[in-house]
Amino acid sequence: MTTSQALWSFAALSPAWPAAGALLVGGLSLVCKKTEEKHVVWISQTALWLLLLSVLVGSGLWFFEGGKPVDLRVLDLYQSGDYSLTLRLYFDFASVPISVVAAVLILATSRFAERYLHREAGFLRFFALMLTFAAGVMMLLLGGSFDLLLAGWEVVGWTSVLLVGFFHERTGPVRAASRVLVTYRLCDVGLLVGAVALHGAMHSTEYLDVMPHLAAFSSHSRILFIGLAFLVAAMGKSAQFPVGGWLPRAMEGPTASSAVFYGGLSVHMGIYLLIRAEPLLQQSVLLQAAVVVVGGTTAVMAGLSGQVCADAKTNLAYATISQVGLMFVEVGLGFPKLALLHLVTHSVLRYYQFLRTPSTLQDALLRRQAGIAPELESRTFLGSGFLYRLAIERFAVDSSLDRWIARPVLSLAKTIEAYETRLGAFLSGSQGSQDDNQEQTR
Amino acid sequence: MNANLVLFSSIWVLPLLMSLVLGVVRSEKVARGLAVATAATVLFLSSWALAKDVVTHTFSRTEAMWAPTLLGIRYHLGIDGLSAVVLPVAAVVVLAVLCASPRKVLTNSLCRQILLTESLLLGVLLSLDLSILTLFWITSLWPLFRELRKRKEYGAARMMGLMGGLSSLPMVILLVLLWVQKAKTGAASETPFDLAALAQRQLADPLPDVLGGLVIAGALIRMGSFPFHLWFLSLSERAPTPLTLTAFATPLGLFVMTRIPMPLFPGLFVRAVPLLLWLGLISATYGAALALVQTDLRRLLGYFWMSQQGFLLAGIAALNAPGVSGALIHALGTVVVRTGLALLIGSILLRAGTTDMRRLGGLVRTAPQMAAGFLLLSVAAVGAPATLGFVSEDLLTQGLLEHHEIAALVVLLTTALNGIVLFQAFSRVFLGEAVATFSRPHAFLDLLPRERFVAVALFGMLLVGGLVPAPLLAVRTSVVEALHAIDKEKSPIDNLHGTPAHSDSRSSDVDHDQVKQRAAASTHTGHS
Repeated sequence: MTTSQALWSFAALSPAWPAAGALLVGGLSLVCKKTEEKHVVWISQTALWLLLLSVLVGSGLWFFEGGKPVDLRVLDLYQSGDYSLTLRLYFDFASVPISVVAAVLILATSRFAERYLHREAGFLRFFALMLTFAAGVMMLLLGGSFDLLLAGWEVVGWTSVLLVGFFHERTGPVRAASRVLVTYRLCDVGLLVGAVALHGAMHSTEYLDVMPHLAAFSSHSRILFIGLAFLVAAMGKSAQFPVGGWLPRAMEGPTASSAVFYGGLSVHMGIYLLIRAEPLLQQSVLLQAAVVVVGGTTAVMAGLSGQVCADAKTNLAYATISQVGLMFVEVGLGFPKLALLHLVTHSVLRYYQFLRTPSTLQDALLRRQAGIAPELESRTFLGSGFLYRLAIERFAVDSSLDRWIARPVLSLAKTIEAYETRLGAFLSGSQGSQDDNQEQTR
Repeated sequence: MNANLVLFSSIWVLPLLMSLVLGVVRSEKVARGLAVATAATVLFLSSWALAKDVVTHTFSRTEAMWAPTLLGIRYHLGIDGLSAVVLPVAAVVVLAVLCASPRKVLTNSLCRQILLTESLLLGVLLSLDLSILTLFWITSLWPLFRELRKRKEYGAARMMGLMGGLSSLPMVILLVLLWVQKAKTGAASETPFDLAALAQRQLADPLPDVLGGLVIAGALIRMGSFPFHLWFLSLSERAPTPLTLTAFATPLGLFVMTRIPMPLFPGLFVRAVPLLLWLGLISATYGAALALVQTDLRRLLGYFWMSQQGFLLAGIAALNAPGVSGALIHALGTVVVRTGLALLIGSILLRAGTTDMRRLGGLVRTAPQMAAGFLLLSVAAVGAPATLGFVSEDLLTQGLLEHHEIAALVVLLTTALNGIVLFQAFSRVFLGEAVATFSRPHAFLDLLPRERFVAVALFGMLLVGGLVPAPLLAVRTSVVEALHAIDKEKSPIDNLHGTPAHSDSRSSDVDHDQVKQRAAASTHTGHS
């Protein structure tokens, strides 16, 4: 094995370090009655430093080998008929910068959370989830096919939901987590459909196989279908109109995870997906238009809603949404590299803002009490008319979705359920449901 | 050959004998110990049979028979790629049930019923003679039926008798018809009920399609597919969990579907595929939608189960390699998930006295391990990466997409709904503010060591299956690739006899190679 091969093998371990860390932390909780915080921290830090090192080695090799896309075939997972899944990593202009930023941000979060969550009941849980998230993000960013991207995407989604509901004793976070989950699950169908349809059309979802041949791919309707499916997935993950209502609610999670998920990484993954699917977008003007419209609408609406927010974290959330909306516009207009630059800079800045928010407010308060800073005024250019009303109602997007989609489905299901209960009672010759207490002995 | 006969027979006879022995054991503790030991031995024996099959025959069929025939019935047992894997899984379910069920529930008599049911179920999986298979199929419902009557759950027993009878009737009619045929033709067919011989013979002398339709309907009833799901719901609510799990967690309906209608009525089966596909999709969506509005955990699990059965049906109906292997692997994964969740729900029932989600909440405070177990199993159930569910759903969708794009979309949406259902159940029961409306909330214990062991073991199985799925797929390869061949050739009747379950291993190898070549060719054209 040459040195270069050995280094590449080390780089290929990037998603494995945090995954192993998560398993270790999880195992620790099973084996030990009471786990020490320092052990958890030690495992996490080691895993995340190794992750950073692996990513840096991979990125360095990619850079010195000329900056051409590098495809690392790691392992054949399974094969059935003409369908197979191979674990392969892909280093190129998009995955390298984002994965370096991701590795740094996650490591920083772990340092931050070590103090921030000291003696919190869910200390171990937080670190286990964050390490799982790190493994998912790395799979999402470095995976060499849409299938692997999907795998990472799902992991990121689940950990995100569980961290929003981190403070599970209160109803608020739990409800917010449910909202996030529902949005994620429904929008993720888009990614699944897109990946599967892509495989149906091209017999592969690996970037190297698919992307160069897209130009020769004739069926426009198929491209539109796959592209729209990806767009739906990206909208869910990046909180775009009309499914973006979950992001402000997601601020119920601990600051550390809010920062890395909704300021830094998770919320930008929709953009990453679109950058990956960019060759697809280029094939269809309609598709590009759709991306621009979604991004543009979101940017405007979130920008206006952010103007009337009373609390800082929600304000930041809307600011994030509107910036990500702008990135959608950039990708839609055919500037993926600009979007990439925007993504990297925005995620670092926003991550810092999210981490600083609680203490910034405290600082401002102290300064005001000391008479150093003037009283804050609330200022908005929206006035108090129709636009203000719309903004403060968040354009009634969520309530309309609830009213026109969620409620009819649930009430239909309830009606059928009532009929089923009656039919069941008829068939078994009984009078429907009986007292639960009777069943206590079973 | 004799060694095989002893091995196969002991797999089903051992639990039967032990269930008789338990009749004279007084101490409940001893009875439980004996039952666990028996279940473990059966697991060992069936795993051994699987290993032997893998090593010596590479997943083709291993047979064993006892030569004498009586009234045309012959004691003919065997395992193939399909049953070789289902056997240990069925044994795992029973072992898990016996280890993790609450002691209070697991009385001596219930242990006996569980072992009896296990014995009869394994008999169905092992039989290669239609008459013996039918006998096991019918009697395997008997212990649960009797238990329901004993517990004065007459309503549930009535529904079970009705549906169980309906699911068995077609097979009895089939037997009678075959016997009449034998009586007519005389000595020409010594063994009229032998499945392999039947599959060969029906080429020249096809059986009436109506009968095939009825047998398919029987299998559908046993799967609890739409519109035959009500009895499963009533059972999951009214019957003792350990026994229901033993009797119904094994994908017996699916198994019989691939063992009887597929080879005996291939033409009909291919024609029935659109119907099966739509029934599967309706079951999947209907189950998921109704699970959304449930307030009782056991009913919710019942609807979830129905939804999963729909996936299996749709995958089988795809009639191509990824679809069918996806369905078969999904069947295994679902069994494990359902066993784990049902056992956890059983523990909740015993501790809280209710499974009504409106009366539960915040349980994570007193039972964090139970919460973690529930969450991990739920996540694995809806196809989280690195678990078996991801592999099976991925394959299933690929399989469906080849012919039915809408079907793939429906399956994906339903998976999303299922995820929502299970997470909402989790958050209502375990998260949020503690609700003290059930009896003794402070006495709510976390998982006992044995329960924890079972939960970890079940999740571990899903994890290992998800990380290293290749061996599982290899087990299925023979069955799956042959089915693939049916679809590609578009001449179902000829090719179904290439199914290794009903022919020698050589023909399956031929199919295998052909399919691989074809797959390679199609991939090649796809890229160029």
